[in-house]
Amino acid sequence: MRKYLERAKIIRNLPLASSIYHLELYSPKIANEARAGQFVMLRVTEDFIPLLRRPFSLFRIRKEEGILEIAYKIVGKGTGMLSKKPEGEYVDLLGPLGNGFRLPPPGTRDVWVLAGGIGIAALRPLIESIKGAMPEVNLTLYYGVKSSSELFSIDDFSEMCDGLRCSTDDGSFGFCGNVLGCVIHDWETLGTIPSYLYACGPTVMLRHVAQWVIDHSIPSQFSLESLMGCGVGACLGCAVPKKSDGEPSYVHVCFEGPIFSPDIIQWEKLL
Amino acid sequence: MSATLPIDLSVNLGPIKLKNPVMVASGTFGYGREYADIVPLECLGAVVVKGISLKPRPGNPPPRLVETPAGLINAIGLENVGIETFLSDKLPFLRKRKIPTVVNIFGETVEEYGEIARRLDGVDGVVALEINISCPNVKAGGVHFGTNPSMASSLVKAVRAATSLPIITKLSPQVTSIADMAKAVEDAGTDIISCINTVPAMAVNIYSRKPLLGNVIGGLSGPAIKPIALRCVYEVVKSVGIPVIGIGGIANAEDALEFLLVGARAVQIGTMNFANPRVVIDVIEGIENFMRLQNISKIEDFIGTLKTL
Repeated sequence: MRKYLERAKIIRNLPLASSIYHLELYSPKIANEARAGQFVMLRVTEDFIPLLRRPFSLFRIRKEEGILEIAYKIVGKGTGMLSKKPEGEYVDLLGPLGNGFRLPPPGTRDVWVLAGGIGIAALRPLIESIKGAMPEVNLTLYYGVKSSSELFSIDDFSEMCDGLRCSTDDGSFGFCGNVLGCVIHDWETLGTIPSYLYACGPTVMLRHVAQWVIDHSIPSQFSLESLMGCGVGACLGCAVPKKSDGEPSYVHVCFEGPIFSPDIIQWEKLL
Repeated sequence: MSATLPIDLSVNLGPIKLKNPVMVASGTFGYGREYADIVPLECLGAVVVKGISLKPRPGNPPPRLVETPAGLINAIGLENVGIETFLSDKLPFLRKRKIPTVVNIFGETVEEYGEIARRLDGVDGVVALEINISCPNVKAGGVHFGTNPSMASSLVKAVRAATSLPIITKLSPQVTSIADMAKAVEDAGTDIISCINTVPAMAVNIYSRKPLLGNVIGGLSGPAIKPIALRCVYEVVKSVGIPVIGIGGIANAEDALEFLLVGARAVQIGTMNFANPRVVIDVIEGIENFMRLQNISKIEDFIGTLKTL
């Protein structure tokens, strides 16, 4: 897996939902190499504030066209500056980085994909690759946000997945409650349980989902996020606590992840 | 005429000769391989690898990083694979490519420093040891050695006795007189001094009322510390007769040239590798361009030519 540093031309950078933007970049080398679940480190400015690159999941990898799409939420200075960059400008990208998702094992029937908020941004290529490689899989997307103004690409996901269950914390659309609440509701009322599960979202959500999948012995892969310095395993700044018997132990989101099996993470130390 | 001017970037650092004065700083470039797809490693003056201890270390609890204006505070806690794995799994990559490799070492006792230096003595591919006496992150680690001239001196003597490799001693800015510290380690037998390490720092959140680092205190690096580093290098150069390597916030060729101007014979680039992984190449090319424009053919003729009253 080769990494590239590429000057990528902005093809599109427009609002997608409440404080969420959709960035399209012409970045043929990285697009050609990238897999579902990987990320890029984007340099927002050549100035020193902010100093570090920002990690972004890939929302779509359009290999043939050499285009990468990113869906990002404005959370601070870096993403705020990014949202003001016009079409035609260039940004500096480092990638593709990280391990990426693995497909579920052959013979898997029911896959549930859980997205919390902007966590959806890492899951689209996964859904695409599962449906491409294993069309027989019955895939349900659970997509939860705070309020309906944050939902996006609903029609698109509805077409790609066999089932789509939306939830909002305020009840403005779909199930009233969080993603895990919706999952548990379906499990209790329909009696169904997935044979494989994927999740990406805020750490607090992942922590609760981890407990649920471990309790129900559901094999799964989670995409974690972390502050990052380098993105390539040089600075070791993105460590998260790993379960261990003796001495403290850590895994690193940038090069050992961002995709992890939830049973190796020491979730209670993560918040 | 300037386009054809032959440029000689090579520098003598006491017992070491480098093809150019640009190195990467410990802890910011992993073990070299991490950036090998992006940076032609053979272009570098030398690679200084992540600090190595006798035993592997897990490092500090997260968060380990916090960004500040033009800076980065880190509290990694000297996480590393330990000397055994370094020698078996990490060093061969650099050795095979003939990349001059400086191994940054640290320990919790004088004996540990001596032991790790012994293990690296005569190891093919290693051109020097850099002793970390100044990392502010680990309570039991370097901070004591780096703030007390006599302790620093005994440490350098122990490493000197354990190895025939050139020794670089990396100094902390967190001392009353960095000139006195420099003299102490020079007298103890270090061949070269590198400075500065990170500046002890912290950051807090007023809403959660919590520190922003798992270790509470970390070390500040990046462009924010460059003026402090430049002053330290200037004072050290004036106080010792051995070569000095300048480190601290270097982001471009002009910054690197500033350190060379005040007398550093080489520089290390650290935090900026994260923002711009090709910064080292940009700096080497930028120094060359500067020399052509200024009609300087040997970088050695520029080093230490600061005009003071």
